[in-house]
Amino acid sequence: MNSSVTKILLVDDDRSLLRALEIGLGAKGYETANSRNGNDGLAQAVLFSPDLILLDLGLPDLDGIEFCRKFRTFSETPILVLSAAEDETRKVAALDAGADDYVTKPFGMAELEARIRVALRHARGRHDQNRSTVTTVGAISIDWERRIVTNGGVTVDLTAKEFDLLSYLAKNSGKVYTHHQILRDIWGRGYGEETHYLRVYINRLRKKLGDPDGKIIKTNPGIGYQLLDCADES
Amino acid sequence: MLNARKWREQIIGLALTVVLFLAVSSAMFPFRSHISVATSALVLVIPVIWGVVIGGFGVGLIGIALGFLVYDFIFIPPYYTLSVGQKQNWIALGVYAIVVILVSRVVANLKDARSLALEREKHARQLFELSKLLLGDKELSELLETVTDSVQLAFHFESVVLLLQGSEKLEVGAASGQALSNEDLQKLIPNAGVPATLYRISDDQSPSLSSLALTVAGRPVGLLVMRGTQTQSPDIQLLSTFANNAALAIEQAQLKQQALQAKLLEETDRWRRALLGSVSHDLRTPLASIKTAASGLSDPSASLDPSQRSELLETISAQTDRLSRLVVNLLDMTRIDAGVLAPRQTIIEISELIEEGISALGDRKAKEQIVVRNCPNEVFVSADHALISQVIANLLENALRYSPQGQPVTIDVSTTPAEVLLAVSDSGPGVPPGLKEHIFEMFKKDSGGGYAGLGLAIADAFVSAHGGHIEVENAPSGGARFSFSLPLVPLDESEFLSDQDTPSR
Repeated sequence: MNSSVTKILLVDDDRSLLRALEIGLGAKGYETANSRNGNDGLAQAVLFSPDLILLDLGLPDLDGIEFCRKFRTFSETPILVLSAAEDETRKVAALDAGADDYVTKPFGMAELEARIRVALRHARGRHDQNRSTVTTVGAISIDWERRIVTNGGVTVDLTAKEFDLLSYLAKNSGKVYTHHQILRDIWGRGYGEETHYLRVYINRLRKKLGDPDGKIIKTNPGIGYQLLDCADES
Repeated sequence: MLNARKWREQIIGLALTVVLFLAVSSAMFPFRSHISVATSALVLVIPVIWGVVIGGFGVGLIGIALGFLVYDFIFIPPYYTLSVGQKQNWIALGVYAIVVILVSRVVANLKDARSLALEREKHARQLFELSKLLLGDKELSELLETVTDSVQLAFHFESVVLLLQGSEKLEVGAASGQALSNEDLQKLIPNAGVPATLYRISDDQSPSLSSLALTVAGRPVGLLVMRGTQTQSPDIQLLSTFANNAALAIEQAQLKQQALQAKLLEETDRWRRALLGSVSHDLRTPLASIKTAASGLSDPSASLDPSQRSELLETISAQTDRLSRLVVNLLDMTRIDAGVLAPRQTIIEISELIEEGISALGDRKAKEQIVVRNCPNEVFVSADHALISQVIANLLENALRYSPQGQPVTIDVSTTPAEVLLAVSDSGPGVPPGLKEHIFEMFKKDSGGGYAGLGLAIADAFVSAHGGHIEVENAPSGGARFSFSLPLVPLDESEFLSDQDTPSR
């Protein structure tokens, strides 16, 4: 997992897209393996032990959402979902089922690679900080025990809910959390439709973190939010 | 109904006769020896005639018998016996009886004639009222409901069902009152050649079920089925007349509907041909550039310098984006066509919608022309973000197409307490006067022959799905301006936003 080659598992039933991805990612120095269906993909995920999975939602045998759910029972490896534009509800369902991020088809290699890098960096970061009481995402560090947030060494004054929201996103930085997930987990069951109030909180957090353009807390329109290292270009 | 009224009249008439007899008898009683036998006979005519007027001839007969007894018993000496005594008294009694019988008969006939006339007038009026309901430009389903409703109300049935000839069997067209059971409906399927008269489907389980065929010039139109009170014969006549009128109206409505469907089919067909033409053109153009560029790149004999190579590659990428947008529009259009367009409304910030709309345009240079003005912060609308961002993208695409290079395309946002108005203006030539009404029609080809018409039609359909519509006008400064509004969702100071003062630790 350190300096060795990064391994990516491609799960998609379209042969020509698989081949294009293999060539494109191979040229960038990634090692790839591929599966043409979901059950084989789950087996490969164990045998190949990839660092990241690129998953198509429309698989012939196993629903992509089901794949995420099953895979998450035994692995934390980030999943990047490839989906069609009109598949919004399924995209949200996949994120709820444990996928980390999504790329909408058709996508360019540059965009895909940027997303892959973000997911990998955050996954590694999570791994390194697992035991620590302080989480660092870019210039922001969150002290869980003392409930203090600093940005570039300067303490940021947050309200209780703002702290909850930021630390929730930081728990799996780089992962896209859906509106519903955030509202339910922070405000409790019974919440889920109040996306506009969530937006107000996000705006306040952005202001306090000096992030007016949403580079640290990124908006995924109609889907949710994700916390990014400001070094992540997207 | 009718019987009950008749009974009541007879009882009242009889009671009145008795009371009047008592009254006039007791009035004359003290003077009976002073007044002549003929005078008392005349007075005793009054109760009988009055009884006939109220209760009819039947009451009259009882009145006559009573009068005869009273006259004989009280006013013809010797009193309190049935014997008549003098001969002239016999004559008086006889004349009394004959007069009373004759007058009663005449009065009773008059009364019958009058009530018959009243009844006829009432029916004529009812028929007129009912038939009036059938007039007017009604949809078939509405008309059928009017028929069953009015039959049920006017004739006091428990339930009324109108069956129409379906493709294979009779189908329920409309129903009023209590629902008929499937079993009842099964019994109603008539044998071939049922005459157009009321016939009763009586068996032990459903004693009061009756049906009436609706026909126009011998052609069957439908079957009216009623359950409830026993129908009287004048009602049957009225019902049949009404049924004839209803049959005519229903047939007319059916013919009109058929004509409409035929027209719709023709329209759809025209659309389909236009779609095929438009789509094949719009698909082929980017495909041709991609194919040409790719084959040029892969030709081993062609010697390309790096800048040419990258230009070809850029062409492929840009044309793919164009194809991709077209496919999205086509998919959207099929969704509109299939009628499955149900907006998934969420609450979303207006600035986010605009950003998404702009980013949906993909990578292209022309995006630099877009200027967003007066976009407020934290103003929320209720909308399907995917559909509305598509609307914004399509309006921008259209505006960019008509704006000269380098000239701005602006998005203006203005808010009222209830709405947010979004306007996209270009600096092109504006909309020609004749085109304004047709600009949102699908496949209205513009001079460039592109699919801009498709984009505008989709934008309009999406806004309509949100309950609004797109306004188009020419801006005073030239150029076209497309605008639509979305319902504003106010932010109230709820518990949600109230932790401002709670520190994090």
